[in-house]
Amino acid sequence: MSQLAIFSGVMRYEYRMQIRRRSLWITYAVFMLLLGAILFGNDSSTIYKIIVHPGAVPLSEAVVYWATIINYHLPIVVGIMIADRLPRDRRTKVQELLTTTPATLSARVLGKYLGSMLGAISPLVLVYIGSIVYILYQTHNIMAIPLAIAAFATVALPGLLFICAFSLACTSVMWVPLYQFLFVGYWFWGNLFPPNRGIPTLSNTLLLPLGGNAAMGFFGVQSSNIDHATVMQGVASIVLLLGIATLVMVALLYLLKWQQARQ
Amino acid sequence: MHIYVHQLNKVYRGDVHALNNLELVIPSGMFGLLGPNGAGKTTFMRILAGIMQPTSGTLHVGDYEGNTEKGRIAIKRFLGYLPQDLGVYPDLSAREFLDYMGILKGLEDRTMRRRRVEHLLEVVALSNVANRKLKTFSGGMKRRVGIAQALLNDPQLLIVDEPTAGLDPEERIRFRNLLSELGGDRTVLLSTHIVEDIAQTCQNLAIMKSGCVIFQGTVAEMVHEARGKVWMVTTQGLKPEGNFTVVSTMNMGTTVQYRIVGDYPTRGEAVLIEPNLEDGYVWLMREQHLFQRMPVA
Repeated sequence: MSQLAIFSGVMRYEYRMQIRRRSLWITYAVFMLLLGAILFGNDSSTIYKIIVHPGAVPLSEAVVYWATIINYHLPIVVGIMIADRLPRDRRTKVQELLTTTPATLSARVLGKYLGSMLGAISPLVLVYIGSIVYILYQTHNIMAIPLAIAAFATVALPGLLFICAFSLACTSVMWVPLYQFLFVGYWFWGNLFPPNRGIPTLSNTLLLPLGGNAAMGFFGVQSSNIDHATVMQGVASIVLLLGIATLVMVALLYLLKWQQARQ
Repeated sequence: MHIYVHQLNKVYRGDVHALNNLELVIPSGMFGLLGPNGAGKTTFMRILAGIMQPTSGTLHVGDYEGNTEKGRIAIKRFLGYLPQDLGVYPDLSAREFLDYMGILKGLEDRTMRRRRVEHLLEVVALSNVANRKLKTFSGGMKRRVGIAQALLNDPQLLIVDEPTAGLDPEERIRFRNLLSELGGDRTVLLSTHIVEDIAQTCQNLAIMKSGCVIFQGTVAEMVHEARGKVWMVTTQGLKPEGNFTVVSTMNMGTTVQYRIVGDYPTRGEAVLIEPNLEDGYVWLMREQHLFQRMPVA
């Protein structure tokens, strides 16, 4: 019996269940309307110029800007949508049945983590792909594709893995709507709040899940409150985000095992 | 496969003793577990299924120790479990849910797994609604999905907890027939507070009360316990008096017939009648005989 096969199967089905949620698509639609209003509302802004005329700036700037744009507000949807995945097993009473199978807790939880995350970011990825197709169309530069993959993997993905780990773990000990409320607050405070307003924030630190350190460090593109970062700082930010995500998942597994043993 | 339970205890928070030095031997075939609400049946089932651990005592399922982590994992490989309160993912179809459970039970080969799912959907008569989402299923249909998922890995040990609770008579009969076909080399543990479910399907049974076994034996032995204690009393309407339990009351127009279990009534004329399983249950619950016999293999 292969736990890897079980993990892969769980991941597939969690993806399927997440992608089918009507609320996922509706919430994304609302956020995209807001995003569209921000991006296209001011036709004299720098962002507008880069989006509409990507050929007017270096290719890396256009691609990395998009990787950051999709990471600005849309991850709020991701964090909210992942938050109920574990409590849902208790609510639907499937949890008991799952415990009687030979699938290990780690295979199930990791499968749930990755599967529901992939499902939750699918609309975001679709927007990103759409933007890259537009850049390709405008610039006729095939290098946009590998650049887009690299930008997504370094700028957007580590932050998404980071927030998904917390969203999955925190609701094992916290009421889901409370977590969702606090998460939205954290997102604005920890990512978008400017550091020079007298209130401490994470928005200019290595813990920024927006990907500003990677965008600046690897591609030289300022797309957040990070105005200066080296390659090492970009690497350090990614390692920190992924490392903390890993620790959170390990802690979650220990917590769930302890809860099970206490029954 | 035999199951041996020795001095099993489970104490919940708040000093609630759900199991009290439980002693039980469960042979292969259909085995019934009867008892009132709160007797500890579900707690025992959940310990057997590896969902929770006992506070103390030993549990052997075949060659495996149910008290250890390693033993529990081994048991889960040949376990099928239908809980009292079955949970499903409402947005999956029946076919998808069974496929998912098949994956979790280690059925890696996709073709073989899908074949098994289709076969079980036919067995539980759900093939024509297999693509419908589970949230559209009635209680009885969900129960059938439940028994199908329990059988996916062709389990040697099948635990079925209150399977007919909440089902209409037709569904209940269908379920009983299905369960009756499952015995054989398998050990099927059927927990219920509905005596008729046991009477129709099991040869051996045990009665639990307050966390311990008050009777273990065959169905015939349990019926025999009440022999000489079951009376039919006919009155003009007044309830009979005495030391007994009224099992049923039937209004015959000018008279009322009472079926009672216990001593001869002090008021009313009584005729001794042959007991059934329900009478045996009522008698034992009254007397709380701490009596245990070796079951018939």
